[in-house]
Amino acid sequence: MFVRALAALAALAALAVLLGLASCEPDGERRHLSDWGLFVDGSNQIPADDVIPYDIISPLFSDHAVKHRFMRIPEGETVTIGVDGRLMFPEGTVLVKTFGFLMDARDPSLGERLIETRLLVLEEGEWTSYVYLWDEEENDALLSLAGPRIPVTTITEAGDALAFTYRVPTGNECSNCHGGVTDIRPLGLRLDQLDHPFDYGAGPENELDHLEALGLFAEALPTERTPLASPTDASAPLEDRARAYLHANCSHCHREGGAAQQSGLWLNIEIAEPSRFGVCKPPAAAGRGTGGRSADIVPGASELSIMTFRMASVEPGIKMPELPNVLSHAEGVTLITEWIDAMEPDDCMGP
Amino acid sequence: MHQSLARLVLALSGTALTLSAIGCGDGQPEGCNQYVLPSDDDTTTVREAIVLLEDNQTFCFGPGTYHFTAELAFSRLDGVTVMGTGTTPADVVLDFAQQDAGAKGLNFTAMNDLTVENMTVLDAAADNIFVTTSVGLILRDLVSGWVTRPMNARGRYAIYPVSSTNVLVERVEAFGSSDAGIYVGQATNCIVRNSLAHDNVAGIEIENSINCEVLDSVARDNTGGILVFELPGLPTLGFGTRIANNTITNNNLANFAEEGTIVSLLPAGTAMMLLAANDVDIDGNTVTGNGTTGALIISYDTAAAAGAPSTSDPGYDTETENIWIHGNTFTGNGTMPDPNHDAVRLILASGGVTTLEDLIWDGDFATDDDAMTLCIDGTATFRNIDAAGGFATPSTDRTPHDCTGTARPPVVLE
Repeated sequence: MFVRALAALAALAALAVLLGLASCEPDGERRHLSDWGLFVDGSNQIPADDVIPYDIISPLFSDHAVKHRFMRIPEGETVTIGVDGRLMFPEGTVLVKTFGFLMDARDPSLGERLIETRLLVLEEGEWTSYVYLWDEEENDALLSLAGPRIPVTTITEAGDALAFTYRVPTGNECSNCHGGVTDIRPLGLRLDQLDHPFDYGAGPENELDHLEALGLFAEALPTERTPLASPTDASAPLEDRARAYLHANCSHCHREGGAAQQSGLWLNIEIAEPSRFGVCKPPAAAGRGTGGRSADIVPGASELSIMTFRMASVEPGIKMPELPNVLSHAEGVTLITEWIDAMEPDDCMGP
Repeated sequence: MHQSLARLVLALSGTALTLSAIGCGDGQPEGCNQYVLPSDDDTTTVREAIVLLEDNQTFCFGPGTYHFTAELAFSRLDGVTVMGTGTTPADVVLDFAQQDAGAKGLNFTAMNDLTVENMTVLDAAADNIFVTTSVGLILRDLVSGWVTRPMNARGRYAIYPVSSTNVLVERVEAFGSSDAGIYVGQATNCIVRNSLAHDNVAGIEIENSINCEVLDSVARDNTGGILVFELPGLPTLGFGTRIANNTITNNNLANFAEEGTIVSLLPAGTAMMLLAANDVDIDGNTVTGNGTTGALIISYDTAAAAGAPSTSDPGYDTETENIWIHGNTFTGNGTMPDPNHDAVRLILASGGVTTLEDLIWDGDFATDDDAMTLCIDGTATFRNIDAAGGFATPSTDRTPHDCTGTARPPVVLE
């Protein structure tokens, strides 16, 4: 939960009450992102020495925002490997994700506007979420509670000029994706998401190998590893790309223990049973989200499948994911469409 | 939960933290830890206050109408009450007609010992009051429905507790839902009582739930009044529902559910429908004026033949079994069967009739002992449509079902 952050900002508010001041401004030792000492140059996202950048193979689409990811592990501490290859971090770990928009994704050198930096901090055994909003000069970012809406513009890699209102989540919305029934937890930090090349400054090297060389892991990493396919890697099998995309973009809710557990549509990469990941699965509570279609995936017929209908929608009550995106991800819709259309046809009407 | 610092701050200030809505630290009503009032920007005001809510606290909406553009998410808190401070639910109105972010109005995730009460919630994009994966829920004195969205843009469920244990819904009014007004799904131990569902596609629906009761409620003017469904492809398999002492009347509303949903297959004029349900005890209800039938009792295979997707769910049980219908009052049902429903027309044609009976059974059963599958005491008329046999030999002979079924023990919420 958000309570430690609240306490921090509430402390001065409470003092203000005591002093008879009617200040409602958040304040406290964690009011500013700079209080964490994570960056030597925040505006350019240059991390401090003890902050390690990383990237993942299959990212969550966030309305074309670019993301800068970092982790800070307390000195001398190590990471273990948990269920599903999850990295299990020590107390005091800070995970950092900054969201920004490139002026033109076709030429990143034209510059970027930073919007927000989200932290997950492991304190007293639980992950706490903090959201900071960057000021216009990008000198620092200020703790945010309500999840404001921010007009942004960008030009996508496909060359589309976009102007829309980006939505910053509230703390409670953080746990909607990162929580569910289970405790709040990181999503992308798994072996199968990190097992790919990344340039730490000396040319591309495998991220896991790099982290292992830093002495990060308490144990030897498994020698047999299966990285996720990159959804954008046209040379990878279509099924693997599609499942990796659904895993990253849907399974934070659509999994056992997630906020959409009750749908019975579970899209984490571990699910092997086709009816569980949507094949000929009738909707349980889709309402208008069916679009008049009767199964999540009708093999061979994306035009009859609920999954592609909802992914392509931007209408609340129909669109998927429900939050926080404003836009539909055209490349994602195309990938899932191709995957469904390539399946052995089945009208889902039984033998 | 980290509360030590927050508690310290509370102790320091001598007042609950209220950084919004009514200024910082202004007085709020007794028993309210967070208190909001309508403002120029209800979405920001209320969401900021929700973030400050802690375990075992009460979040209060002061009287008035609030307009939201985004959902209100509560998660991972224990012992919380969210309430309106008015004299009646009508005094506090949460209006989501302008919602453009999120699908729910009030969205509760992993909230144990939660009470939501004394408010009106209107016009969310999909679901007005949604609670999932929680233990110990009381949803009471609520009015929830759709009023301003057009019929083809109405949400799914007005009251929607799901995947939760020990659920009490009482004294609620639910209306205008394109799926179910009161929908309890994948619950263990639930009671819906003293409530009113009207002008929904489904009035009250219990789905894939274990050990539930619908008592002393009114379901009127819906497409279907009270439904017990067991659907394939869901993580929870249910059994055990008692429907007792309800008034189920004039459920003849034209079906306006989105095509592709299971309830879009529901004939107008259906008082009760049991779909693949097991261990259902229906007694003491007053069932009147429902144009198609007082109860439609079918297997999932029959529903699939009528348009539901076929299922390959390996753990699923498609038949309706162990149903006891007794001590009810059926009058004036089946007099105007839904003329727009293909399966209803087929039933009429196969029987050579223009009206239908109080009870319609598809004849599809899992065991050799069909008397044990469906027991009927009392004055209800009956039709076995023989869907399992291709509608070849329909029958109105009730004698195979003259038996005493199994009473459900009372549901106890711990």
